[in-house]
Amino acid sequence: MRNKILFLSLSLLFFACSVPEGVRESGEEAIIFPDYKGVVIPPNISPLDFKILNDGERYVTTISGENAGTITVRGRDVKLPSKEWKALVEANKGSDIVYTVNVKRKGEWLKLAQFKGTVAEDPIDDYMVYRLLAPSYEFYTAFSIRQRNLSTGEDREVYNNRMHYNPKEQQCMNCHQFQNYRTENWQMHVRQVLGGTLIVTGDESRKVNLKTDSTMSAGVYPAWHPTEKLIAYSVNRTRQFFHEKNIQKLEVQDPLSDLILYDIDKNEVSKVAANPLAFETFPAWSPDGKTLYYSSARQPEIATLPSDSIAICFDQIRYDLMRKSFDPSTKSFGPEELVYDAKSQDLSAMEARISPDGRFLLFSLGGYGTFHIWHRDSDLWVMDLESGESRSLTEANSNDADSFHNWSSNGRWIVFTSRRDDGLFSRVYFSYFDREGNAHKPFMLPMNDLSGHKDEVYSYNVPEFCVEPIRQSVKDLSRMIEQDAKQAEFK
Amino acid sequence: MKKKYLAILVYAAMAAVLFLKLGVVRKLFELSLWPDMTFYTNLGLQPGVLLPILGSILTQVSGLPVLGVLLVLLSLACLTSLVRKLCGDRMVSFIPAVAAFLFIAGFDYSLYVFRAQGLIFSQTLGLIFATLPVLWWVRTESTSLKSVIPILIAVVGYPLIGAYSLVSLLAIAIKALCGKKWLPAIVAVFSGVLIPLFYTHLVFTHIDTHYTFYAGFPYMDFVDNHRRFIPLAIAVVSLVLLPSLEFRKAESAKVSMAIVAVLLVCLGVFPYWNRNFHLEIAMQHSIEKNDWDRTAKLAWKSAHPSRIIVMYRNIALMNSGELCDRMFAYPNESVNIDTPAQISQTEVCAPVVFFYNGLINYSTRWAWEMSMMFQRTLERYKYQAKVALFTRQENPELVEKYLKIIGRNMYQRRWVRKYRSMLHDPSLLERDPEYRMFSQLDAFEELKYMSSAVVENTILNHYMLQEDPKGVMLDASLAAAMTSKDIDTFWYYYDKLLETGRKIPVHVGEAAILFAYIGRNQAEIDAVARDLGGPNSPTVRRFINFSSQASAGDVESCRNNYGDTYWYYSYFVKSITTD
Repeated sequence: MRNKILFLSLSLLFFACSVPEGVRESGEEAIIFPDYKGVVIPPNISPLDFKILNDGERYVTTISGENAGTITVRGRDVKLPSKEWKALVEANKGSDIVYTVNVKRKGEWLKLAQFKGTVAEDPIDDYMVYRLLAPSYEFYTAFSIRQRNLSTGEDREVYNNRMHYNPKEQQCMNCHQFQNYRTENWQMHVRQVLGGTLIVTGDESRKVNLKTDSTMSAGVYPAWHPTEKLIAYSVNRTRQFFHEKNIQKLEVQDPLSDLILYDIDKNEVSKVAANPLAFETFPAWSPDGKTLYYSSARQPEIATLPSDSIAICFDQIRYDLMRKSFDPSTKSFGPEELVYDAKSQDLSAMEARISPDGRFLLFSLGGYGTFHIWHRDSDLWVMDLESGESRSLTEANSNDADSFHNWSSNGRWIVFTSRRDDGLFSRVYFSYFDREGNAHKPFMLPMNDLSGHKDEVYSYNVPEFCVEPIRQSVKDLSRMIEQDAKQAEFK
Repeated sequence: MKKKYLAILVYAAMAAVLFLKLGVVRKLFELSLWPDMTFYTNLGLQPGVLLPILGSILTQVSGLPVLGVLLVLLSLACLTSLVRKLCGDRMVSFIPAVAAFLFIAGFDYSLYVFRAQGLIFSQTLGLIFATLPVLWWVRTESTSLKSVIPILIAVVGYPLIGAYSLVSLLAIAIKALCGKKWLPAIVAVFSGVLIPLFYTHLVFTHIDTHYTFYAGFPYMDFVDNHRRFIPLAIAVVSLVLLPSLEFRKAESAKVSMAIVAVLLVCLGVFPYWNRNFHLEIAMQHSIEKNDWDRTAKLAWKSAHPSRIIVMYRNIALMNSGELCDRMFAYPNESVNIDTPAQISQTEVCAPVVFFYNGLINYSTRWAWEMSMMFQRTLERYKYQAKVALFTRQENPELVEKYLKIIGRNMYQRRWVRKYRSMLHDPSLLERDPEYRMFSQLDAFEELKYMSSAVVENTILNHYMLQEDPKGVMLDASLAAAMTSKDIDTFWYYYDKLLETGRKIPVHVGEAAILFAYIGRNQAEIDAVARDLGGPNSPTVRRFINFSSQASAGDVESCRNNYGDTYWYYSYFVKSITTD
């Protein structure tokens, strides 16, 4: 009897998920969300579930590997079984997988045009840490820093600002960053309630106040040195104003900004770049730690600054990419050197990120300004540091803001945020970056909640790859943040 | 009088209060949203999570305000009935419900900045859920079960209804102590302390443990406004104590009368009756229905208006083409909003005022900021959707996203259909009266240094900095110059008006003759007099009479005779303040 029940159950399962017979080829294009058509994916990515947007009464989707493996899923929401998916992508490394969507419409089964995906040989880092928040402008409420396991899809909270909730003053945290993709040494800023910069080094933690009498602010955009216990920061006097009419809505500006270097062991800050006529910001180290890249704009002539007046010329402030050599043994910097001249093209280049092999420089390029996440024309560009040639990553870019990019530890994947889906809510995208230096059509961070995702009203930002999970719990970090901030000394 | 009739009297009084506050009930509906489960799973999961979810659902069901009133009364009746089963007396059992009602009826401007969701129902539901386990405990005869029930209440109740489960436990502990049942009392106390701590330290690890024993209460919403929280505290305390008090029915008749009398007085006195608050809500509703006549009529009902009322009224007058003819005929004051809560007039009205003045970027900005700081609501999403649609540069996906969220509420389907059809057929948008008005007001060049921090200042500055306004925008510029008593700016736009050859509006004529006299320039006076129909024109003659009364310092007489003129505003309405 038990065997009969088992047989019956297996038969039902088989027929439930089997491909219907008598299907007519319709040639109609399958419309799916997220758009995973023609994308290159890592072999260790969690299932890429999607929703079919074509009209229909019933749906059966088959995903077949060029080498081996088939998954058949019924329903409009294509939720892929994790184990089968893992086996499928593993078996098809370096080759294609083919998606076939069958739709039942008015009693007839139709086969939509097949589409393909490619499984790359190169894996993606297992973890990504990001901020999840509503896309507010100046005010904010509950939001969190989260960690996604890209292989399993597990998503956990790293820290949230309700841990120190205060109805009169809220807490903001930002700029989480890791040394060399590992979570042993990392940092994040906490603003307002219990403000300070939390620096985690191994089992120790320290909250520091990096604002000194000789610097204009506490540390803002960080860059951990790849080998030393040093962090380069920008210090910024940030202003923002809301456009009366402009579709870009918000403009974030730095009427003043410099670069500093923080020596963790000595608890000392020193100046790196502090030209009074220039705005230096967004530092980034080369992988060998011997060069510091950053963006720098000349102060516009119109602005002999009463500090808010640069609002008037917001669209004339343009940043070039610069660099300085660095000697880790003496902790000294060389002279400033122009890397990418954006200003002469009436453009503004931000957020330099060097590929782990040191060959490519990835940056975002927009018409003006510093905070490209609010600039619709912002695109990702790459410069080959060997040849000096640069070009737009057309394959990855969209008509909306693409920014906040980073490399995976093996240099084969780029993560970035994009507002391409609706113009406001930024989502995380990954693009394969092949050995010839070409990007490929990006794919969206796999969704855990398929039904709600398209309507979800949260933004994902500051995605950072890690090769291991963050070691602290929410409560651990909460306790670390409660400690008094240690005042950094200016050297 | 029989107790039954006394009870009906109390319900009738509560119903009457709610019917008088029907606009507020509607507003609470507009300031709510169908529960967004992604919020709870991503960010908002905390003890007591059931209350905001159910509260939001019931609020969203109350799309017809009368239905909302009935649901509120029904929930209060349910609470009363349960409490009665515990304390035995019909009238006494009203105390928690009336206190809960006064909590709702006491909502003032705080409702714009509530963080807790579904507050019109959630706390009454909390009280109901707190009563049920007490009833179970009282009716249980098994001694051992009486000691187990408190543990169950804490284990099951705390995650779902938060601190309201602790209210149950406290009531049980006191009841047990009164009955000298020591073990259940001890178990109740320990369960109420230890189990919530267990939850917040080991299960809800992402919340601030300082709030362990408040979770489920709206502790973030009345920080500077404690007196509005008092009724809820009374409801909770009475619920804790009533099960332990014994009422003798024979002696309670007179007491009942006294209780009802007190309750009725409370129902009359303690709700929030501020006139401007209720008028502002009604005016906003009329504006959103494009009912300009009603909006303007409502403005008359406040002799001492807030700037919100003044701005709403001006929107109505601008849309009916009467701004510069009638705006100073109405009372023009700047009475502060009546609340100790930390809220500015800008936070109350910015999305509306900016939207209907054509500054839709600022409208959407404030709708978002309020959503982020406090709650996402139907009202705020509607402004987001309309702005995204009106700019015609936004991604259609964004408009569709907002419409889909709004459309989850069954009462909004018609609204959503209307705007979705405009999204798909731009010719329908072109015919929309709000869009047509927006198109006229949108004819300006962006100024790069505007601030939208204070709504009225922003609007006045915006209109006063327009280089070449036309039509309705020119009237708005003149109105702004007159409101600001900015003579130079006024003359700039006055000349623009003369160039159009249009008839000079009443208040513009009044301002022109006044400013000409202030300038003591005879040529200017003569020119303005000519513009107004000559030196013997009614406006000039009336102004000369006003001048003599005003120089005599007879304010009362000036108000009676010239309270409808710009002259009165210019001379006697001082220190307009807004925030």
